[in-house]
Amino acid sequence: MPEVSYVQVIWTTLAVFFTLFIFSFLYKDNPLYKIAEHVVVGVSNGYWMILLFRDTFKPLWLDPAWNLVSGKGLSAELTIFVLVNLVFSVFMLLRLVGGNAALLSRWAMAVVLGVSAGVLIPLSVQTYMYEQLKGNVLTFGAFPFPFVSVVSQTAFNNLLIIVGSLSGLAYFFFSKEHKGVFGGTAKLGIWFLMIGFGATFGYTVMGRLSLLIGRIEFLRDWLNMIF
Amino acid sequence: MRKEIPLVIMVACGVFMAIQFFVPHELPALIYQNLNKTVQVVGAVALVLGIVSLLSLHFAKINRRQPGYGYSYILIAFFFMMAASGFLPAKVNLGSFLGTGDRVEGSFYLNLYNYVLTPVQATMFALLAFFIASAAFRAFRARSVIATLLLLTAIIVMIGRVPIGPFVLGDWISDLADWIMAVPNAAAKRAVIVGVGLGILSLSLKMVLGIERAWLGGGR
Repeated sequence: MPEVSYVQVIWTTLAVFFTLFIFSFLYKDNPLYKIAEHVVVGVSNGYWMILLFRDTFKPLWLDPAWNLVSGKGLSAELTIFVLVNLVFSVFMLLRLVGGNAALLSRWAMAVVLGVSAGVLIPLSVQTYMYEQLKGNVLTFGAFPFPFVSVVSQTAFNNLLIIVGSLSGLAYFFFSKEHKGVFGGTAKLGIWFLMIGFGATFGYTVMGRLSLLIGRIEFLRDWLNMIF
Repeated sequence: MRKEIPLVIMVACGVFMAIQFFVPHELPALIYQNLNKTVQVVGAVALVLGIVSLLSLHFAKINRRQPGYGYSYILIAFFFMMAASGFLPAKVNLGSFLGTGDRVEGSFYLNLYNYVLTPVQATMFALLAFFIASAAFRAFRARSVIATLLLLTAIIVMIGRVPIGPFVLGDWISDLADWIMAVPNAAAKRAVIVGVGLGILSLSLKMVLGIERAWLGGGR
């Protein structure tokens, strides 16, 4: 066991108390859990405020704005950027004032939503559709593998992925009635989807259990540290 | 004009951002970069709205002596402690217990992060293991073929992912779990991802074309 300072012991003990406060919820909702819950809301809000200020607001706006104010000189592009952002940031904060001034926050909101939605149009086609379909085409072309094997990539596996993803998409297509061949394909799709959901569930449970083991190990390490 | 001007701004920004993707020129690329930065800056400023809202809610709770107002003191105290730790000058030393003002190991900021935020969040997620297991126990019933498929797949993946599974049943169980994750699960995920992509595309188009106006609110 490496040497630990008394400061580290105190902080770790504090973390242990918070861990036990959260676990106390397994019995029922209680004041100790509520304390830990309010602590985490307060701390995480403070954390995000610092993170956004230091990593986003300061380098992107405050530093160039300071250069502009202190007369160090700024390019025309950066000067426009600083001024436009100042206007929209003030507009956003006018929501706190209320009344007619608060309506200006919609302008800032419009920029955020418009830019985000506009960027997402080509991006969603590229990543969510084109790349996924490209994956199907590539696996379809990869046929020199053995036909059936559980442990290696095979033509059978590739075929299953193609059939599964296409039939799964057919299940989500509600503009056509699920009857006949299309209905059969949709039914096959729901089978694949259920296997997918089951696998995701199992994977999530094991992920949470791994976290639980981590927390129990943390408590064990603390006991070793104390005694 | 209360709704028209924001709508025009949004449509202009949205159409520009969608079209610039196909225009190989310096100027649209420059505007694209600056608009992206604007979203980051305005988004960071918007956090102030959330924090003011949170704090005013809890100050009001304290003022009115509402049930559980004592917890609001804790929330506010820890918020200001964390915020102060981030804005402390690097040279400040708060003593051996609280730590220094910078952001290195042993600083007040990292002590709060490592010994308060991280353990509480990790334990909250770990707690979900119990609730997921109890929910599954109640919800998982082999009532139909597809429900049985879901149940069996979950069991195989869970058993195949822990050392005791292969130890008791043999290596085939972990191979099968890996195959399920890599093949049928990948097929299902691919279908879901394409569906999500279509959803994002349709919502973005509705916003850029000004059809979706819920963000403007229902008021004046």
